[in-house]
Amino acid sequence: MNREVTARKKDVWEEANAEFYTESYPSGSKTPTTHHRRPSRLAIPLPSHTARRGSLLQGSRHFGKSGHRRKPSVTALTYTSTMAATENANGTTTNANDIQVAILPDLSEGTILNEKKTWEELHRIKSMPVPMTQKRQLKAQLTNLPKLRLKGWSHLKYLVKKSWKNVRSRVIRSYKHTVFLHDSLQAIELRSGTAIVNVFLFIKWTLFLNLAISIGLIIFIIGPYLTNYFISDQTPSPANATTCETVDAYGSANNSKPDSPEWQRLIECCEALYVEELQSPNATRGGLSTIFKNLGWGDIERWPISFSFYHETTLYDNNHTPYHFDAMYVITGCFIFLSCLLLMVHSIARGVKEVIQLNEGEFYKYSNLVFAGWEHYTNDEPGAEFKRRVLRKEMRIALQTEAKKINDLMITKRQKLKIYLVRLFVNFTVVVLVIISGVFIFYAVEGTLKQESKLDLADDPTGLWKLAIGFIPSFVISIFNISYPLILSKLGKLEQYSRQWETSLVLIRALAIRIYSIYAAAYGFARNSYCIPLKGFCTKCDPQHANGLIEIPSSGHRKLCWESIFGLQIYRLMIADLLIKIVITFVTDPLRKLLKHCCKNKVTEKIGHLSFNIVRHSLDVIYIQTLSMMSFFVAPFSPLFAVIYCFLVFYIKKFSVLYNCTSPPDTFRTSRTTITFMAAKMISFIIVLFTFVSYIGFMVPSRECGPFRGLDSPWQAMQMHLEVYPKLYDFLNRAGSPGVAVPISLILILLAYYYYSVAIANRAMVETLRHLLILEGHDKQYLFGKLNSLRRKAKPEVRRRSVFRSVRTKELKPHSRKSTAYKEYYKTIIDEDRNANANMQQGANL
Amino acid sequence: MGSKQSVFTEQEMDDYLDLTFFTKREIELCYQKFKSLSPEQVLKDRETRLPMKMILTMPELKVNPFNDRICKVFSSSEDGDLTFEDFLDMMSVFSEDAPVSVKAEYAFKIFDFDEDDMMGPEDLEQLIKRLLGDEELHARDIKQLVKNLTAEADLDDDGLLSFAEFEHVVAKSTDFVQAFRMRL
Repeated sequence: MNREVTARKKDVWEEANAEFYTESYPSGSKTPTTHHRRPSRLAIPLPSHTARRGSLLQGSRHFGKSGHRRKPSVTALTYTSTMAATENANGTTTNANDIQVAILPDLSEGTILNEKKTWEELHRIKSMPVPMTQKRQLKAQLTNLPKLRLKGWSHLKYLVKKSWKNVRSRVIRSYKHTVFLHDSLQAIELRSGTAIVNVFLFIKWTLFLNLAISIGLIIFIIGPYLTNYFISDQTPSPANATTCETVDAYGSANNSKPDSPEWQRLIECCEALYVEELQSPNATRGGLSTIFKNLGWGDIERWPISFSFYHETTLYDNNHTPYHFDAMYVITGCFIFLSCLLLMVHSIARGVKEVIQLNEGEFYKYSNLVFAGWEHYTNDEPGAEFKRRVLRKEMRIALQTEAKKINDLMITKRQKLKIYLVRLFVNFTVVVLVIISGVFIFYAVEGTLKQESKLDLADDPTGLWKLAIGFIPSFVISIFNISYPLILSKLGKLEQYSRQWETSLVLIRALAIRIYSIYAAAYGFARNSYCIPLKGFCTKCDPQHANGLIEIPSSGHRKLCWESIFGLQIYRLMIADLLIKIVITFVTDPLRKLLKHCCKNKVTEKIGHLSFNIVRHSLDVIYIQTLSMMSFFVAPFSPLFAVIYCFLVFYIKKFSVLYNCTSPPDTFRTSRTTITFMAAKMISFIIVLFTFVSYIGFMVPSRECGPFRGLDSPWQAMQMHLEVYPKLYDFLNRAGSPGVAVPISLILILLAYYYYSVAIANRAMVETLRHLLILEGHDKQYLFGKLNSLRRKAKPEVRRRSVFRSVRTKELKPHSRKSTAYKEYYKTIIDEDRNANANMQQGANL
Repeated sequence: MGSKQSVFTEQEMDDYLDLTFFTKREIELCYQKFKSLSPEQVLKDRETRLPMKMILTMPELKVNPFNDRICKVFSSSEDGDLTFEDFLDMMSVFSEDAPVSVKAEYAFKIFDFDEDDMMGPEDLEQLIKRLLGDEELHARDIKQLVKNLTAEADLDDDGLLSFAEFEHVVAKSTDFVQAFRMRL
């Protein structure tokens, strides 16, 4: 019996198959040629191919920002749409109708939409891929439907949501159009594409970050101090210098507490020493001081850009309320660092998402290259040509990388060994280069400091010579910074890493060298200007603290107000960097370009080949950010300097992109580079954090200037004021040093975010697969429907039903719970069954 | 806001606001842009259908390798000629606020050169060739690219990209939304 049924079924299947094919071929004859070329493919308008317009549109929302909000009612509507197409089942589907079914709520269920739902539906119509006339019809249909009015709280919520959305979009738009540098960014984007414009966005971001830091500093440090300075007219009142003749032999304050009178006296004497130093004609200070003096601008050390300007520890207003300037200084510094940390975490978190995409196989390299290849906003021929060249280059690189991967698999042991040897050699060379640059910078700094102190006013009355000498280390550093990445990228090519690795390695190495060069300079400076002083002396070094790493200056004294000198050095570095950039962009590069055009041979071709090196230019920005963060504590105006720097560099680089660099850039598309930049930012930030913590916590401030005179570390100022609040003090002590707590929490946050992002990425994939499965199901439905109609024509009704039911129970059960549409489908079938049974009974009765 | 009288009736403007991703100002800008393609014809009759040749003089489309496809896809008469409303539709899809789903939908239509609702190897090959324009790439390389692309995006391994597959890869692409944009 059973066998009979299956045999019969088989017959039916085959019969249907034949009919099916003959019918379906002519129906899909839109482009017959393509189908002949692919005989394996049926030209059946399967729901999965055609009905997507109603269905996946909704699914795709899950990729968007509101990814995790599920709306069961919406999905149910969606399925109805494809089912409508299925039940049509006559070969041709009209898309517009599908969508109408998809978008319009099913009124048969007796639900009447409320205002909010209508509004949401209207928004959905907006993002439908149909022409305007159809959208208009849909809108008319929707607005003509009866709708419930919302009342009370939900009405209020709806109104607020609606107006909030309007206001937000309006604000964002007006912001976009009026925003700073908008036109320039647009011009760059049109000309050279998204990858390059990202560098400029990065510059802009850095500019605003520094602006924010500057504002913080102005509100809490510079502002209060300046107002106090002008209102109360407190001129620094030096103690009688004569009583402090031999200040460094003044040993009576030894072992006394900072608030003891002896200590106070020592500090006064140190201040007097500094005042005397500033007034002496053959000052050992830099050229800028001399120039400032010659111009009649007073001492640069008494300008607000200098650390030594900030003299008072406590400020008083007219009501004599104290403003603890020293503590505020430390708190502001810490606050700025914490905010930057949060910002870093935010930007790193975005990067983490991309790392995940790459590592979890969620990044489609070729699709990204081809489907997102053309930037449709391009509107002139040079821009279009540039982009075509970039595309060609990237396609070739992509293919080469793939070929290399295969090559690597087939490589012999000998070749492998050779590559390893080359890599070892390259790494060795890099280390040697690093050491060379370090030594150079160190001696440049040391030599300069010595020369500066040797030259007195008689030899160099204008101070220009001194100024020139003072700039030597800065220029040395800048030259290293520019030349090394070039050498590194040439070396990197030898190593035969994959393209992406190569870029990342160059970036990380170049960054390491940059930071290293700052440290070499700082070390050279510290060797000559800083040491931990003996108790009871202004500048005399304590030989106990000297060891192999930290040596005391050869004179045995540290420089007077070393913070201020260090801050001025940082300003110098920024200025030197800017000057070199201006020269390169406006003099050297145009000359190179000219050379390429005037005489055409291989050498000039190579010299004149100018492409915008995204890595190098982004490094510049990271570098300036590192400088600004590192020094804002000893040079409160350095973030403001960085703002100006960024602003100028933006235009310098814009010129470079639009007029100098016409060759395609040597890097990946946008998405690939961000990861490396994230790492670079992270490294520089951690190093800056380390510097900041060691300065705040462990370095002994000057005893002759600044708000922390006489303290063992700036942190002590905080502690002194915190002792008033014992509980808080206790808590801070228990929370551990910031140097430990901060990195740990940072890592924890990042880890948490990593796993969260993995989950999100997986969910999106699951969503897509689910849709594919559903579409498969709909395909089946469609085919069954077709089969059904054919059978209805050919066979008596009873047999059709039995076959169909058997198939139905086998194949469709897994989906049945998922969609209401299926339920409806079942209902109709069951109804049919009932009717047929009733008919049969009637027949039997008769 | 402005003292200038709008060319649209209130009802029209209302519809456009509801059905595109634009603000009032942007819709006016769109109209200006459309008008500038052929001022006399548009001034005479706002509902006029501008021929594709005229539309292609727009700078963004002039250099666009898919310009004919874009016109065809957005044309309500399906021959590449656009009315103002078609044009508005186009600019709305290419605007910054349009969600990736809409963009993907139209991108698929644009790239589906033989209009069979699936992206086959022929479509992909043509797509790459159009992208490159007059830049040369070896035919072998193009074939290889097509192969890699299919291997990467084709989830069900039928050698063709369906819309679902296309949408999936495009949604993952960080550059797609950035690239599929036009300015007003």
